[in-house]
Amino acid sequence: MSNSASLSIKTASVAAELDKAESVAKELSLAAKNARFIVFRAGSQAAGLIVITSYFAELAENTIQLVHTINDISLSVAKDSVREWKATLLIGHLNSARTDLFEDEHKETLKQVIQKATQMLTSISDQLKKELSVLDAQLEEIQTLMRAASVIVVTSRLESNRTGQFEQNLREMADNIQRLTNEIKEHATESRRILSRNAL
Amino acid sequence: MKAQKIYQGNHEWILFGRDPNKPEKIIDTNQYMIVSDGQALLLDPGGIELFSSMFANVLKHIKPEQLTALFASHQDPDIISSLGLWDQVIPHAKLYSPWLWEGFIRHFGMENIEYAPIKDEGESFKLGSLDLEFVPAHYLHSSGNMHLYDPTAKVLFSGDVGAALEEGDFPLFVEDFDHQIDKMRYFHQRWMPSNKAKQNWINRVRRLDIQLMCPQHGRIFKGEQVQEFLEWFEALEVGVAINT
Repeated sequence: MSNSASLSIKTASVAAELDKAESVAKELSLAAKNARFIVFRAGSQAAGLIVITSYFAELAENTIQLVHTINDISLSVAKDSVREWKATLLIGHLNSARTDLFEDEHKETLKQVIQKATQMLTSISDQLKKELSVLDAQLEEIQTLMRAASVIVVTSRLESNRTGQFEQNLREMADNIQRLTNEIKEHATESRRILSRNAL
Repeated sequence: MKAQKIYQGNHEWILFGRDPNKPEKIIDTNQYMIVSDGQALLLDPGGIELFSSMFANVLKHIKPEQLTALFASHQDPDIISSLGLWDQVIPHAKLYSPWLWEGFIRHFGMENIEYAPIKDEGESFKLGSLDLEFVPAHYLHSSGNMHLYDPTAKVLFSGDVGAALEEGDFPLFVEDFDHQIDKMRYFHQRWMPSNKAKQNWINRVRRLDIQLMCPQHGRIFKGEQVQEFLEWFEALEVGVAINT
């Protein structure tokens, strides 16, 4: 399989992983809203949790936004991988055309066309490398955000100890958020793993 | 691939075809190029599998930048699936094709070449100083179909009309019309859907002075063979699949 075809498959697989990550981020957003509601009901007992639940709501929104951005980049990578495939195909056909030419003048014309096509291919490949690097950086950012969220979950568990009758609810909520952030992190990790497989 | 001049005057017509290196099970096609005043028009440039041979053969006659126009009589893959590759080597060219197919033909890949839609009623076209005519041939076989007539050379490019499905290195010109009938009959009966469209085209073409009728598959008809073909085609019942 050509590099370009394999890259198209990889970006499609990453898009599928990110689609799952987006669904989880939407669940996270809902979980954060529920947590905020419980904290509101708990009143002054849960004052310390107000900032934390706002953080989770913001985290969920940022994750959804980030997933959209990454999907745009993936789409661009997919398009450029098709352009790269077409340019490679063209160069293959042009090289085959050499066998049909015998006069130096015609060979020289073809050589110039091949040079132009090769320059085009190089430019597309360079663009792809840049896009892939941005894609990887964005996926890493999701991982970093989720790691930070895990730390905040620990804090929220400690804070929930002070909320009396709401403690159980808020602990469950924290566990739920922990599970969701782990899931998102796993999807981002899997996406990076897919991209790094037989890297270009 | 064979390349042969079929008309030489102040401008020229070149036929490309009979490619011995064409992959098996791919229908043989005729590609034609008109060169006039240093500009060239390629008629039904062919499928993606033929691109290498076609491009090499075109370069034997002109520089890539002289190929300023492509013509696709309709949307089929054997006509124009090479478009995505031509698009990269002649980015400033125009593609003339029935307006009906623009959204479809673009699926073959068209980032650079400009689509020049041909109206249903046909239109005139200039290649350098040469006057050419796009002649409607709708439903023969495609629902948006054009042929091209060169009144100076008296050549009609007739797309799938007059086509025959033959294998191997068969002659470029029809030698014996009666003998050719067996090679054409099923193609016309099965691929052409409408007797009304057929008659409309025959009436239109009878008004033209034609010395060479050049189909996209098979052999070229010369002189009286053109009239023989029109009479044979007029009597032929087409669209037979619905009766089977």
